[in-house]
Amino acid sequence: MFKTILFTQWTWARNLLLVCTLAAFAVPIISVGHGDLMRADGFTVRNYLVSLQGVGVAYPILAGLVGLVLAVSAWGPDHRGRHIYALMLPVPRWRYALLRFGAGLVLLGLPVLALWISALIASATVRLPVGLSAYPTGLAVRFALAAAVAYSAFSAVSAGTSRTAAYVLGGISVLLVAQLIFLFAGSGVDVISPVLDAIFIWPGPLAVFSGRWMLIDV
Amino acid sequence: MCKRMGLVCLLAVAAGSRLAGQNLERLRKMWVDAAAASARVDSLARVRLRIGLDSVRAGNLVVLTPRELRPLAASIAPVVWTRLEGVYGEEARSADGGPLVVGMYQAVDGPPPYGFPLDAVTIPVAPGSSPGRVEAQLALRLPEKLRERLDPALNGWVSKAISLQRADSAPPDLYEDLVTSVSPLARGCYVGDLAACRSALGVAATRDAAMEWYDPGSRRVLVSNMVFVRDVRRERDPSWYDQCVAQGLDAACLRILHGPDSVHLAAPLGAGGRELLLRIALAAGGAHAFHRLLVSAGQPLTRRLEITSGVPLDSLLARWHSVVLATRPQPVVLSAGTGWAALLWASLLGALVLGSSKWRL
Repeated sequence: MFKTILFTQWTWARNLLLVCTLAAFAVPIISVGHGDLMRADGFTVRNYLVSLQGVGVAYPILAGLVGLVLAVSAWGPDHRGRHIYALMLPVPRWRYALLRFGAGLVLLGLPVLALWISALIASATVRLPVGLSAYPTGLAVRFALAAAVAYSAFSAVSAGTSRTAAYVLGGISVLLVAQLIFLFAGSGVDVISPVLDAIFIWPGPLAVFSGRWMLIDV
Repeated sequence: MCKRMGLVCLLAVAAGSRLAGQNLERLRKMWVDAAAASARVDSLARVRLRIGLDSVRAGNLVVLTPRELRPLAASIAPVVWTRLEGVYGEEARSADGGPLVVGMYQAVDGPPPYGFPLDAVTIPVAPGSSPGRVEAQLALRLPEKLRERLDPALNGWVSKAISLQRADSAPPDLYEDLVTSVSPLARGCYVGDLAACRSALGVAATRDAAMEWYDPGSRRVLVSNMVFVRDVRRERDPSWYDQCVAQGLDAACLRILHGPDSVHLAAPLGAGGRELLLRIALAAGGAHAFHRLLVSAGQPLTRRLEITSGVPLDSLLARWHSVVLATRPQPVVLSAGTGWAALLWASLLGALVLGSSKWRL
């Protein structure tokens, strides 16, 4: 049954997933560019690191995107078919959800693998001075975890009822409106920053997205 | 007839131009008088406004502030003073140079609306600014004021104000500076050679900076990246520049670096590293350290740092080295805590998926 669900999910997600996989393969190679830093001066190396840091923003965005694509494509058809297919299956809901969730996790391996191979190739083509290191496996592990967290978060919203999604969106809207009201009232109260800190700083759920995403770093 | 008419015209023009000149002079005088009167009125208005200012005092720090900013000034002045005293010690406390005056005013930017004293550090406070932000502004501006007390030699060496950060904190770019410098001294310093650190920071006196700070390969890279040298040398003596950069002839590089462009030759490690070393020396030397630093002007830098800190220079450099290595930026590799937290959150959110109801309500 898992194979069938995996296949159907692959069929639903393959176009976008292939685009994401290609992007995951391209980003490390493009970011490294021509790489002989052995005789480069500090200024050049610093600029190189700054440009890598700029391109590095693409990794967490791509991880989030992969999670979103897989979650929406896994649960979207169920919503569109009014869940008749899921209700007809002779398996309990939790088992069905587990199969769907697991199939998505397996498909997540494709862009992760592409990124890892690409990072290994990119690292092998660049000559680094003492003090700089390449982190292909570290980058791939982080990407995998970030994509898994994003996939889980989007799945939790997608697999839930419309009411769950409404609660999540409503919560975000309330925060934004409250911040706007405080802003227009001239009050210095900041409600967004503490929430963002709680989400993006350890041990928040999206802490894995924060920090430096650089294939080559000090 | 024509000649007579021409003479008459010439006389008329001359008389007219003399009159025009007088008019211009009269207008200029009126303008100067009006500007002076306007300045007097503005000055009086500012002084009148200043009379309405409150003052908040913390140690030797006096904050002049309008009434609406007084609570903010009262909350941050003691904090800033403690930090200031922690770095500059007795020198900040002594009133020799008068109190440190800060003028706070409510504005996003632009000149202050009050007639603050000329030596006051003026801080515009944007509406809704948090105390932390205003404190950061003060912590940035006050050291610039105290920098004026440094002698030119020390000022030139450190080339930035001594910040109010703790001596064990440094920005991560110092680590990047250390590992990305083209100089072999920086690499030696990175692996713990304190003599290399001393030279790379420009603490030790040099007889030939180009030879002592850089090797042939790095001299070539240095010349190729020195914008002033490139522009000037290409016009002045392109053959040296080409021999150095294109052919890699070290003698040509040295010739450029020993010439008038040697002023552009900087120590391999930047101003941030030098400022940190000075901050560590002040922290080690206690309350009178900054005063000792000021009165030791004229002595060699190595000696001044030892007098300031009261410890041998190598101990200072060892502390500097450990602080810089401790500020290594966290690379992409995850810490165990972040990795486990991500797994835990993914599992928790996954559990929400499993617990989702089959009824679409």
